[in-house]
Amino acid sequence: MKNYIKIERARHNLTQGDLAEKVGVSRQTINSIETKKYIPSAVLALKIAKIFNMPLDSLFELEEHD
Amino acid sequence: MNTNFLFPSKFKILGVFLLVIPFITAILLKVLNFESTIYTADFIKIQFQAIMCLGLFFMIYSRYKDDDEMLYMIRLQITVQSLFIAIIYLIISPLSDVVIFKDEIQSQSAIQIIMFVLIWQNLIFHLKRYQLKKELNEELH
Repeated sequence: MKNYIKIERARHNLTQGDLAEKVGVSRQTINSIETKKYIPSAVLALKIAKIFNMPLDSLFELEEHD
Repeated sequence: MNTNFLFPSKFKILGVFLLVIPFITAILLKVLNFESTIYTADFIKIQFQAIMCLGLFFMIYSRYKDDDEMLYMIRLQITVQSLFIAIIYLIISPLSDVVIFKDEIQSQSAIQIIMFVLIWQNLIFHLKRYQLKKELNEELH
């Protein structure tokens, strides 16, 4: 699953640590999501989308093999 | 994701004690050649192994500072993986007794299998945590 967290994070001037703190997970988890090694739960995905104030399907996108 | 099923982080220290103390006591009993008139050596051995299993269980299922849904998923994957390996071991072990060693089938102790599963879970879990931290550090530098 493709995501635009890194881009949005840069746009909002947030570090991985800042975002992790806001959504209540570790920095490793944010890094793993950005590098597509971990697919977040629906709850976490919604929390991240809320931080960036954007709809979920604009932040996460299904890929061909998903 | 709800990770409330985990024990508080203090249980990690308790787990280490429960793992180390029976081990040291067993060595001391062996060195001092202690023989109980009430309990058999097998009974003591099984009790010590069961306490060590409890220690290993507390070590893997207690909360870490950076615990979140990803670590919860990793724990879940490792639990499934270790159970699968234990089942494979249960299939292979009697086969190897008969086919390779041409011997009678040795019975498997439940405690030894549970201990194997828990040791596997602890090792792989800490290895994965180390890898995640390493990846994060590499990303930052």
